[in-house]
Amino acid sequence: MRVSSSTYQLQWLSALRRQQAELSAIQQQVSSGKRISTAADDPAGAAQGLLLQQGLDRLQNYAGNAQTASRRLGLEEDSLSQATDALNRIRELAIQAANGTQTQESRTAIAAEATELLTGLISTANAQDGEGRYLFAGNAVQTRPFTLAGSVQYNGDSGTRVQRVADGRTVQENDPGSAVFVQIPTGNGSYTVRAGAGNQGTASWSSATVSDPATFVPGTYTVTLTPDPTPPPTPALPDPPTWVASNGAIVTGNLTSITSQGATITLDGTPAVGDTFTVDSSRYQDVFKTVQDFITTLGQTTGSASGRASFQNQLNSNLQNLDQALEHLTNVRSQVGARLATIDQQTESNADVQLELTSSLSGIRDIDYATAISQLELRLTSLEAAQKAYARTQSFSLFDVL
Amino acid sequence: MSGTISNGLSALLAAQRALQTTSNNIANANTAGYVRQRIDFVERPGTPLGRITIGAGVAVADVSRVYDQFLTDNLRSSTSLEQRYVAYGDFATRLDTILGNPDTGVSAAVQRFFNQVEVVGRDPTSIAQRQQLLLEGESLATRFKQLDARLSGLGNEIDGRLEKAADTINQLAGQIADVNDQILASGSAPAPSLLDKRDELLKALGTQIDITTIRQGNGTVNVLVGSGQSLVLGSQEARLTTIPDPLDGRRLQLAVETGGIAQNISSKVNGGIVGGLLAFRNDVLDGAQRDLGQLAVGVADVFNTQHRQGADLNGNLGTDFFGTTSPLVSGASTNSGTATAIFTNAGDLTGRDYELRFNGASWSVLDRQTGAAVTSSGAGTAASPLVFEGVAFTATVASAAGDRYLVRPVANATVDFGVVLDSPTEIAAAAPLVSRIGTGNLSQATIGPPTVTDISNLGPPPVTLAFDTPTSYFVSGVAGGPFAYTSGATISVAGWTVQISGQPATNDVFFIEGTAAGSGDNRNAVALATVAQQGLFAGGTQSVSDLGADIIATVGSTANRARNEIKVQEVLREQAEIDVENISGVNLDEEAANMLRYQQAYLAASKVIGVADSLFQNLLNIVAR
Repeated sequence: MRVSSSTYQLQWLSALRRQQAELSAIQQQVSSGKRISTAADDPAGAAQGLLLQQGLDRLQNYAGNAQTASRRLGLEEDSLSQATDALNRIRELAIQAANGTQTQESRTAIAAEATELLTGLISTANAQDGEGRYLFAGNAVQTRPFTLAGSVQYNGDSGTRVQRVADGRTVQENDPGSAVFVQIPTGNGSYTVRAGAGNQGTASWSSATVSDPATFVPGTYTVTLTPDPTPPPTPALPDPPTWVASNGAIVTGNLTSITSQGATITLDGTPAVGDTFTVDSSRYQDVFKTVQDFITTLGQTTGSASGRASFQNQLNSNLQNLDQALEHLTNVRSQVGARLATIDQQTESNADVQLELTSSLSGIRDIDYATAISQLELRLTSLEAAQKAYARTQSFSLFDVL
Repeated sequence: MSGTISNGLSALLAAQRALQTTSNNIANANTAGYVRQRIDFVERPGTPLGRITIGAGVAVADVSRVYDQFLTDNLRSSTSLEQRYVAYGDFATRLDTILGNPDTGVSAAVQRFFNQVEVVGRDPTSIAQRQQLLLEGESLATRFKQLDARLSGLGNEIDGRLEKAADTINQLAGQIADVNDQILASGSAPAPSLLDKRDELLKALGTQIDITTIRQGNGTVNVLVGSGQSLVLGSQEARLTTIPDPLDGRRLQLAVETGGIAQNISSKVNGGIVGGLLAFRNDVLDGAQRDLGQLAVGVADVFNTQHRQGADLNGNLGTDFFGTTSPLVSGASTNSGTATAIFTNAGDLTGRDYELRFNGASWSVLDRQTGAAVTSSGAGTAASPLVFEGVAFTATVASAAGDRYLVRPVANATVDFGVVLDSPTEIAAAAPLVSRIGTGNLSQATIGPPTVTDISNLGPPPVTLAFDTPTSYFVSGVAGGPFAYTSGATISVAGWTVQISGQPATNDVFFIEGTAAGSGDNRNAVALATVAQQGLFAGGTQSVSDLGADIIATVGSTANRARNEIKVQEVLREQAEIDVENISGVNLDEEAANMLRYQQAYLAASKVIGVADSLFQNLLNIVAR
């Protein structure tokens, strides 16, 4: 075959160009550490890498969201803990006040401490997060939620917020003050007991329960106590005082109970004829009113036996309401704790996903240095070989020997 | 004796000519387009002497070009094709640099914007973060505009290059016509250098545009372009010009001008730089620009739709966050009517441009790029707009048969894209409704957050749900009632729903109220953060972020394919070049050998003359004695 002199050069030049282009591509990969610098390097990989990168960005957003929610829930948890401590102390004071040895003066001292605790409780309920937003104002985060004007008013709303912490998973990051401090049922959660204001006897109620949930119907019922007209069955036995409630229940002696409509109330002491006890459906009462009620009770005089019973009755109501409030706050705290646990757990699993995505992304976008370096060596060697081959072939010419 | 001398002389002359030819080959060994020449000898007719004939020496029959027309044509067409892909690939690579970089492309900008939406969702009442969201929105708009401007810049550059190519082509065509003229004048034996020059000119023309050559009997070559329009006819050349597209003024088309009539050949050109430029513009650039526009429309649409579902920091319902665009309608200058178009549904957009034709009775809709028919409905009147693929087209002034319009739905999308909210407080991060339990309620029944189902028919808050019995309630502002109550059932009122659970008591009330000013509610911000992942296009299967990834994949694979195609075409062109070189190129060793050969022939011929001379001298000496 005939080969023209310039063919050598053409072929060599194009081989050289190709080798150099490949060398430069590998050199660029090695120096940037990236296998894909623009989409043309690997279109499918670039598109996939983009989606992975967006996934990573989302995880980063979730991490930020989780951190925010976690911080706010942590602050809420702190506030709830303070509020629980205060309420526990108030409950102790109530039990202390119930002791018959207390004098008017000691009760006044107790009231003073309770008032202090109430002030603290209000300021706890007005806690703010680091950004100056009220924690317990619902979504009215710029409004001071609880203000004292005689009674305590709630100025927030019932809004809740969520933060997204994973695809399709959100966590509630606040509890509105209305749900935490206001919407607490009174009494035993089903009903309250109120002694008649004109009660003359020494009877006071000590426990009130729903003994039969199936027959319990919420509503207002009044029990009026009258003496039992029937004589005692056996005259030989001592005659304990026997009473009939307006609903026909027989109440005998001390520590007896009245059961009506599935509700059972236990009475201590001796009622007078016509004394009444009224059962009301539970309703919501804010915790501040509960504490204020307790302070009001402390101010009551207990000179007479019936006054003493009235004091006891009211204190019992206060205690029941305090217990409700404590239980309620404990519930809210456990929910907050559960949400914090959810966030922690989700953050951990997000970190796993992040690790996975990062390594997938790196597999797509980054070069494998071992392979790239050996490729680089290979290209350099073959480039050198091409140069030597050209130099050899070009050193021969017939003109040299003429 | 004289025969010997004349034989020797003829050999001397022939060897001289041969040495000249060889030296010319050596001299032009590196001349581009030079075809090596070969000298052909013939015997001179002998002198008959009775029964024998004595040879009469040698003569130069021809100095011919060593040449294979097929290989030369093949080289020209493979050069033409290579140049097409080089031009195409050059632009594809630049487009890839603009749109295909994962870190600086449009998707990254969209993602940054949505990252800030998340931040607002964390602290919805922060004016600083809201301000930052407006700024991110603006920078997204700037990014869209910059990218679009760079794509338009590529389009303008292509126009400029087309103009320049037309000039070059006209120049080359003129030169070819000149050479044709000279060849015609030189008669039957044109100089090899003229033929070399013409082949070189044809090859240069081929790098600009794909051509067909037709060799004429008289030695001239006719050159055709496009679908058979003659560019060079003997010694006459036509002119190539650039004319604006009749429907799309921003694009130049290539036309052959003959007799004052310009004939558009853009769609018929495949090869050369011009073919590459046109193919890139039609197949890649326009599509990429439309995709970018569609992405802008998509982002604005999904974000605005959700934004309008929310309430802002002033307690008002959300308005559009981004500006909206409308389809661009441009009509032919010969149209008798005028027309406008609006979007019906952004999700139906397909990223195509359309050509609309009126036949006097009805409209037909064609894909502008492929010419395929597009399904449409309606008459194109105000009462019944012509609806196709998310666009409603209305002729505002009656059209006549033959009217044509170009509808480019997303042509203005990036220009119109921008934040239209004035104040950070207008960002609707909150849901528009809240529920509240009456403070004097006797029961512990609870109410969930209201859900907006139809924002455009939202009844005026506040609404009170008042229970007249534990099992029935009235709704303020709603006639009728009481309505029966079931715990946990969905209560649907004016554009919203809510659920009440538990056992309400008589006289319990529940309030549904508008979100107050300054609300820290983030429900709408949380919803806004995910709209880019929601299906929108292609029947709800393609989200905005999918479209962003598709854009990268498309420009990337275009550049990648072009890159590979260039490699293939380069190899093919090189092979064609080597094939030509191997026939027509100069081999210096061969020429050296020839030189030796002709040198020896020359010396031998001189010797012949010398011998004849000495014989002649001897004879003279004998005679003289």
